[in-house]
Amino acid sequence: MKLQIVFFLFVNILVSQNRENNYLPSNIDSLEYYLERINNKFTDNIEGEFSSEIKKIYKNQDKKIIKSIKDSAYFFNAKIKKNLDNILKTIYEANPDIETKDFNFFIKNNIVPNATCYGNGMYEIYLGLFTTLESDDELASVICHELAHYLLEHSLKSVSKRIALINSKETKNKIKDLKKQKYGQTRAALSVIDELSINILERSKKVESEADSLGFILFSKTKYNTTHSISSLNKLKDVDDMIFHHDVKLDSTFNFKNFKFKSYWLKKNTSIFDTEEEINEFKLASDTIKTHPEVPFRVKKLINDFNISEVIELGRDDNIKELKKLAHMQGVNYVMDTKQLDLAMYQLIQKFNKNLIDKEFYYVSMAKILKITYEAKKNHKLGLYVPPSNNFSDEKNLNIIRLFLNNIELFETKKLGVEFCKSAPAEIIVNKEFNSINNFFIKNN
Amino acid sequence: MKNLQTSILMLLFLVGLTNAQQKTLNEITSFKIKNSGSFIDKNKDVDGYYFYYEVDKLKKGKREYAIRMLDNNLNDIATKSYIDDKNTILANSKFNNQALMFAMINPKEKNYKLVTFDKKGKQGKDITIPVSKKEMKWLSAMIKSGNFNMLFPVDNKGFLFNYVINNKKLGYGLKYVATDGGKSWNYKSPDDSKWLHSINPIEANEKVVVAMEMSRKSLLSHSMNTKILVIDIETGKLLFEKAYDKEENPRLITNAFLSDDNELVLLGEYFKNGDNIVKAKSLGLFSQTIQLDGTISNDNKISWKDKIDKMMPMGSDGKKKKRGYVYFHDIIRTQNGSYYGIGERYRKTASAVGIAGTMLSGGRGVSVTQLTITDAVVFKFSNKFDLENIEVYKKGKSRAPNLTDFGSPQLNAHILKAYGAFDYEYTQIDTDRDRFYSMFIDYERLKGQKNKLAFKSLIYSDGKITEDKIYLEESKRKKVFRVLPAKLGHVAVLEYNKKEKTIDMHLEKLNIDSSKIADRD
Repeated sequence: MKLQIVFFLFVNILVSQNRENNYLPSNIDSLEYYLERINNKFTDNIEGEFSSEIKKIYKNQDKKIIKSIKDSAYFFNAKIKKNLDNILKTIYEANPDIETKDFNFFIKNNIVPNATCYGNGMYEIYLGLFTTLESDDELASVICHELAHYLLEHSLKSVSKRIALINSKETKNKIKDLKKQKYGQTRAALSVIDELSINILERSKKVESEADSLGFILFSKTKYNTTHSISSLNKLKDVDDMIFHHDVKLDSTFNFKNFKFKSYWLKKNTSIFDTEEEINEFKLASDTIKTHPEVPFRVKKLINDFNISEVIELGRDDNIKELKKLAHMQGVNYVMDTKQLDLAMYQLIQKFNKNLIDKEFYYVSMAKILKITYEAKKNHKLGLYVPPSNNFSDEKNLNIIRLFLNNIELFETKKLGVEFCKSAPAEIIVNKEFNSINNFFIKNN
Repeated sequence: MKNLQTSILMLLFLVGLTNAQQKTLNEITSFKIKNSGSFIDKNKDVDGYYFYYEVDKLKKGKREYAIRMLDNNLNDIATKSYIDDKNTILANSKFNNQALMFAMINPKEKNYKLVTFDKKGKQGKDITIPVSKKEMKWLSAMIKSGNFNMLFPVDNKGFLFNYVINNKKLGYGLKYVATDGGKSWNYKSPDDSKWLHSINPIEANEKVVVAMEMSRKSLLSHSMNTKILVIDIETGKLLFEKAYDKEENPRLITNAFLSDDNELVLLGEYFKNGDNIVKAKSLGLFSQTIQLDGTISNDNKISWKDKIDKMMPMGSDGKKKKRGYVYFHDIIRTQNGSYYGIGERYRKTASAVGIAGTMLSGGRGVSVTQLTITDAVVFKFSNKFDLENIEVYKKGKSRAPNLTDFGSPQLNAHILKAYGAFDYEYTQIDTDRDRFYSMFIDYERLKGQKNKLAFKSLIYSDGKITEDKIYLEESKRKKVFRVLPAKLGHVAVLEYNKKEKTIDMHLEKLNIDSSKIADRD
């Protein structure tokens, strides 16, 4: 999991939920004050070489977290908290030696399956993790991995090493030499950057394997089934392949009796170059290195080191069921609230086709997306919310939606809105919000 | 939305570090931008964008440059390394569906260099053309005057490079570079001519190149002769020429295109024999069809006096059913054969500022007259070039001081056009969907509101013209916008946020009024 750095101590009262607004804790001011105070307390204990630089980094990170909270990057929901707390309680009780008083888990509005340990007790769990994992056991396994990062002090060690590396005599000499260089200075500096980045990224891969091992030890002490440490890793394999691979079939989603799908809505542009990927003659070797070791390697290592059975046994779903349900809806709501219309439409179609959301949520949300698209096009603002399609993108299905949203004309969006609303089952039409959008389209058509 | 930076930073993968070492590395590795532009074709369709950066100083006065290219969706497609002399300037670039060509100019080394990249992004063999200082100076003046096609792409065939040659008097060279394996050639103006000649390629297909040659006796002469040259694209040999001389058949050619049947169609204004096309008032509009053997098969004329004036509607102010003057920016042929002339009305008026200035300066150096530019007008012609309709589109008045009080309004309009005084921006033609988009900048005077600059489009689709508008300022001018050409039917909106000092660019589709459009499958 991604490793970042920030200082935060947990106090139960800090993240009490606001029923009206799940994007902000009700007591944001006291949270801000508290985070700052705890950060100062933490940085006061950092000593040794480069301590002032390390403190500065943590201070900046703290500011960024506060800004993210204010920018609605997190989801503060009582039901999610309750279900997650149940799993945490099980882990903590099985590992009483861990000092968990200052721990706090924030839920990040992000559909990527990921989790983050900030090193000081603050953790992030992405909504995508809930939607991807299938059991409480799998979720507990990932949480144990994050706790291992904390116990192994990976964040502080990582920052200290990075600072030591860039301040090393060797690096300073290299920079001194290249400053003296009359010719080819930029290329030489790029090589230095590349070397430093490779060094840092390689270390990052090493700590992941360490966290896997300690995480498994913590996990194996719980009641959860240990085979789920393998199934969770396998689910996180090739994250890129998992998302945006659902065939959205727009030509059937938006094909109506009175308004047929138009082939030119998906017409691609001619490109200047016939290449499979972007040409970049300034690309660094470090650009292609992944921060995490390959999952098959990690799975194999865990199985060998701990003699875990490869046959996955049945797990529990007491909490994950509710977490998944909420995360599926919030995943759509968040991107819709932030007007990321392409992501919202992709998720809606995918989740509806897979029966992960109910009919009413699908129809109301899709009608909303069409209305926002219409208004954005009318005001020449769609480009602010929906990126243009990209021939090099691996996100093929998302790309199709981008093509569609960008190619469809304003007047066609209106017609599509009318026909889509017409196609909704009778029980949806009584929904107040849906009805109001339906009237909006009829009035404007 | 694309965030635009004036330099590329190769940031070090170190979270939050801003120490001296990293600062040095970041400073060294930032690429300094030299210039930028778009790959735009004759239909004003944008195929992509480029940014030219200086990367590194190399030995023997060389530099490493980076040419960063974006597709017409603003996605990065390539960043190529390019090594050349330290004085190299990237002057122009075009794409012909087969290759990309950049025209480089080196004033110190005195040469032009044509650099090509194939569809795989591989750099081809450079073509270097030596040039004198005087020729370079003139080329630069021609570029600045606008309406000069330095590089002209010939789809799936090659490129034409238009340059100045210093013979006894100034002449031209039109270099054709084949990208399809065909023959490259160079067509030049006569070495011994006593006239000044310049050329502008205006149309080309797989058979011929059509170019307009302009000739005048001296630099100060306002009298100009026009010739249409039709050149064989395979051999570079002149097939035929048509002269439109002052004495015999003076015509101002606004547009030319080659039909699917390989007929050349010329569109523009015609004049009385002996009239100077730059100064005089035209007699009307014409469309002339020429076969590729030089035979004129059709020559239709529409007179102002007999036809146009009678059909001219009132201005948007409801006053006078009077022609005034119309400056034609473009004449477009749609796929069903109809023609549309896009113009702006203008008239010569007294300038209050000019008069006051003249009084203060004792009558020296200040023009007391001005051109007042008003509504946009669209003339619709049948496929036989009969005038069918004239529509007036309301636009706020713009004023531009005349450069001379004694010249004709036409002469001033021609000169002011080169200075960008008209509100017309460009017309984009979508032949696939049979649409065109004519763009104007308008300063709207709004009742009870602050006046606003607006980017207006007249959109032809399904036989109808509708309007769209984008305001160029927002939130009490905290945000200002510029609208740039983009792919067909779109514009690139450049947003400058004054408070946050950020520049973002996003593509927006132009909107067609649904009430005038039929549903299509």
